[in-house]
Amino acid sequence: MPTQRYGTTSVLEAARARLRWVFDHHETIICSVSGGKDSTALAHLALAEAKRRGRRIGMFFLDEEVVYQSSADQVEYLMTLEPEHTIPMWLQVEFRLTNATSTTEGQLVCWEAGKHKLWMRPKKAWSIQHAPWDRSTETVRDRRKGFGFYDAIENFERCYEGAAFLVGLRAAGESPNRWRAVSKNPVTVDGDRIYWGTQKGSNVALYPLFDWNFHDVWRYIAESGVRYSKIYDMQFRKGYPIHEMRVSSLIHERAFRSICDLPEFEPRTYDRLLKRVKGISLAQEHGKKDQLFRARKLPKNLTSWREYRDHLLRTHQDRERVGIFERRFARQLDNEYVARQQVRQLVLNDYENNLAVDNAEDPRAALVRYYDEVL
Amino acid sequence: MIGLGLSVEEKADRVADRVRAGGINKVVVFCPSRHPLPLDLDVPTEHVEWEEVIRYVFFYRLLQEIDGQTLVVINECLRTPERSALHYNCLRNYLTRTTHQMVFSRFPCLESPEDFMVLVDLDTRSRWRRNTLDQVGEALQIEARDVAPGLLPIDVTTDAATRDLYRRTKRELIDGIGARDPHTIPRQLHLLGGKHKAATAARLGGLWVGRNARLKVPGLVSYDEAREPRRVLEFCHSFRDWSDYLTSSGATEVPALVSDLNVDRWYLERFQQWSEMQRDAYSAIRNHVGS
Repeated sequence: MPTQRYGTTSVLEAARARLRWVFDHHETIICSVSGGKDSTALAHLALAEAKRRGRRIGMFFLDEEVVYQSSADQVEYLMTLEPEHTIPMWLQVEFRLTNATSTTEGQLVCWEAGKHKLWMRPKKAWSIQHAPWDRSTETVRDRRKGFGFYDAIENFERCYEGAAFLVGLRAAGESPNRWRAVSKNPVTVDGDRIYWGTQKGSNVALYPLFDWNFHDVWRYIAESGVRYSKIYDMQFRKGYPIHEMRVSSLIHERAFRSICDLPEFEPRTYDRLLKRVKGISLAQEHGKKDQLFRARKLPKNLTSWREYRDHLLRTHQDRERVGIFERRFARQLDNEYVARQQVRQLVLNDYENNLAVDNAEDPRAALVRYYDEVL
Repeated sequence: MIGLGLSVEEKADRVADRVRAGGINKVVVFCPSRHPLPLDLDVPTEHVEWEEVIRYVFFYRLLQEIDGQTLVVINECLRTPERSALHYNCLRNYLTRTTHQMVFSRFPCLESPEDFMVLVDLDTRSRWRRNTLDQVGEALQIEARDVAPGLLPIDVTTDAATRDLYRRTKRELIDGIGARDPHTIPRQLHLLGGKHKAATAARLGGLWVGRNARLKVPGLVSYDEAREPRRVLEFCHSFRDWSDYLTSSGATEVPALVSDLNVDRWYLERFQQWSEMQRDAYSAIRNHVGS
């Protein structure tokens, strides 16, 4: 299988050298894991270096509750792979997640107190079950949206000073935009200028696999023999194209399509999810269709996207969220092209604006004018 | 090497010659199901369809199985002008496993002359990704046989009612475009002359190709089904469908019914310009490559 090389050095050797540098310059090292292939490869590499040096590293997992059981199993496997060199940091605390599958229940409160009978699975006996940060200084990015995923990560990171957080982000080659985001704020540590990391307060986030591509990760997993999430095998057998193979959260606006195949991949997880979150059955049936969630076709009784958007704003169940959408839409152009994207945000309950709207003139307008002239 | 304008038999001969030259113990052919490339070789041969190129279940197996003694044949895979399309990326990954490849295409471009660089990327594993044809042409090995089909219009006259209907429909389509794709405007207007063209086609007899079989004309099949040279009753809209028809039929002169409605004239000129673009592309390739 192919791998990328820098002259005489492969990206694997380069990543090992980066990890050696991280261990040389940081006392506290915490590796973030998600159960996906990238964080699996990174955690395995970091644990090997920790073992070689006789040190311990933190293994951090922010548990979103509504994930594949295979992802949770994979995280547990990684946290118990080298117990003498691992400090498990499995965080199972309450925070809010966007639920793209329902307009009546726009957010899911993960691990919500009092709903333990509905939780996707019981909490781990050895997980962190109460926020380890000082509640009085807790920060929230947006009070209207509530304490969310990124708030949990940021507050957790602030529990440490001078720590290196390792993240399995891959940026070079596949996504120039992601590479720009990674490298625009380089980190200087002990005089070394590092372009594969970003400063986060007194801590640093480092991306030792930033230049790996898809194949480098799978090659490493195959050659090292480290276990990986079985969901990838199921997606492989199902014939998924490469760019759709994901194992992240099941209900956010970029991942809800995973629910379509969930009954086949993990029937028990699907059963639990049906009881836990509203809108799952609908998403399972319509997640991959052009109407509804993908907002590619107008409903038959409507004649324009603007009409559809206004209808959704009028009838949206969550009036608080409507305010967020209305304020955002007021700053955007009023044409069919933009309106279709706004509909998609409304249907997927994307109040966080993750599915950014291309606020531009309708690119079809010039073509319609041309046809009017020549035909 | 890149082979342009070759027939199926010529392509098969080129592949057989390459295998006979030695150093090849397996052949993998990537091609759309519409453009099969039957090969009779002494070495194992596998055909992989265009849709399967990106499928995981093929991707990793082929990455492991294609090696330095495998000949990769890419046949009629100019399917999209998007140079970074996932299908092309996957093909380039397969090509990193070997140094033996043959790229065949009936036409050098699909929508614009720059499309030829898709074939160059495949033949060179994107080694010249940032360069233009005049910068890399000398390094390429190209066998080109000019194929630029000419269109022979057969005039059809419509009646006043049809022309009036045309004017009204055009206005309705443009004013009520709503969320629809603007390309539906010429597509739908082109259907309006169908009744008159069907009558002419029935009178002339012979084999015809159209958008579908709704006109009940004897000898009429759709573009998907056409595998031999036919007269055009209706034009298709996409260049890929047009290119597919010309490739699988091998047609070089295409008689086409053209009514007096503006949309028919527009389609005729559009495909004439397309043929002109192919001629220019061949000319540019010859200038730069000198083959």
